[in-house]
Amino acid sequence: MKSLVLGLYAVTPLHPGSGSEISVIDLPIQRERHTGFPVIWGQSLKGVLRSAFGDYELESREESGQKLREIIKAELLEIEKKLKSDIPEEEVKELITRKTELENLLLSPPMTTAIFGPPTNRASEHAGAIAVGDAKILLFPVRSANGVFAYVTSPMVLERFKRDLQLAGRNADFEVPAVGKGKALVTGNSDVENNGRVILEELVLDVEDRVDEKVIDAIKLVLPEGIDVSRRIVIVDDDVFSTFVRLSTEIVARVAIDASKGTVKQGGLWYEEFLPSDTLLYSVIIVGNPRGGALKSEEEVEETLRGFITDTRYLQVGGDETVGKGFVLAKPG
Amino acid sequence: MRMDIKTLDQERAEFAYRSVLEVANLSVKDSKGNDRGSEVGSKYRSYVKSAPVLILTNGLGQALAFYRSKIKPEANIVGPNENTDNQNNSVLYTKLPEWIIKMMTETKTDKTPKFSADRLAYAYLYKHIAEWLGERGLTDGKDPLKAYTEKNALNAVLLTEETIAFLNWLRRFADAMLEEDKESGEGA
Repeated sequence: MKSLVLGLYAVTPLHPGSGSEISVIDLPIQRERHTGFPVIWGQSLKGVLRSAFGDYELESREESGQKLREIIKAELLEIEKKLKSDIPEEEVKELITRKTELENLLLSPPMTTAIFGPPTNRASEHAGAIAVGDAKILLFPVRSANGVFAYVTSPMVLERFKRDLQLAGRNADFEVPAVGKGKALVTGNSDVENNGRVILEELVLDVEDRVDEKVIDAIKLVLPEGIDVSRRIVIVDDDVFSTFVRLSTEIVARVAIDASKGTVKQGGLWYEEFLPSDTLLYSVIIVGNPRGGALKSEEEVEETLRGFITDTRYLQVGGDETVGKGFVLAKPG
Repeated sequence: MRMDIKTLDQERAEFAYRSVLEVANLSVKDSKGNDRGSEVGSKYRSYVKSAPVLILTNGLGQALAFYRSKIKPEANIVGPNENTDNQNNSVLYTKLPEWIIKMMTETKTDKTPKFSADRLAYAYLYKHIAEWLGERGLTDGKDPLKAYTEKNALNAVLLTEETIAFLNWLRRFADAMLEEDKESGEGA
């Protein structure tokens, strides 16, 4: 069994919307039922990966110097032309079948189909080669009196991270630290500590101990390059962590303007919740043998996925795409 | 789950329903004798709907202090560390609206009373939060701001979460039972 531990680091705020929740906020984010922790459900994430990978495949696969997308589009154009000319009915039928085939190919090219499965209308043909896990929270940014902000995590979060790493067959030899109530752990070279204390939002916590280097090393597996968390990491107890992820997300009021009056439309004010930028999430993707034809083995699937994520680097997750939300730096670990 | 008790959420819902009903049935006349009850209702609806976000973005303490500044009782404002019990003129926050209605509608000799739907609506909202937190046993039933300032940080968070959970019901009922405020954009 092959696997990928995918790190997702928010570069802009994320809105993986839950859609159906009745909350004090009109558009809340997805959360786990039993912990209230933010999450991006596997099904949402798989959709994002599929669509990005489809584009990547059409752009990156070349035959005699021509991109796959261009080849398909050129043939489609040819068919359109032929269909307009005077041709026998039998040939028309054939052309139309080929046209549908090509259009499907644009929606779901061969490698995409092998990895993610056929598109919905042909879903019964075979399954995809990967199982995408939920993207769970690992580090949550919180305003700090010193050093602007801190990356906050907790024993429960690290425990789950360790378990997931083990599931993915990765080295997870760090000890999950214990933290006292109202206490905090930071590293020796912390930017957020001030005289043995950290002040996060309105909470003052006493520094109890140091964070073990091995914890930082484990996090680095899913941390995109160029981001240093060791100077800002704070491990707090689970209750405090839970408080931050429930009460310190970003809440933004949005309005729809009535163009003729230049004022807010009746009913045009709503509140939307975002995961702040600098949040780090991770997801475990299990890779199996492909059933479709374009890729042969699980090794090949894993390699292709890794290559895609390394080349693409940025993914866009969740709602509000067109207002610049949802950009994440992705790291295959 | 015991079958003869209610869930916490049911209790919140019941209390929220009664609170909104109080405002929905409000009949209050200004100095000219016009009934302004529905105006107070629509203001209340609008403030209730924006309350959770106000609390989430500014903190419960700031939000409650903001409401208090909008109510502006002219009697003694009881400070966080003062005892409310033995002072003349001091008003329990759970009693605010009756008292404010009296102030706004009664004709006094020294000044003409001025009715304000805004102020009354804010007073009802503050009172309902105060009453619920008292009912839940998180405060002594008096000024919630006083309780908030006295709690330790984690208990203050509990107070915040309970207030938000209550407001979630309050805004549902306010939405359903009170008329929309024509001046604000809310209502989505």
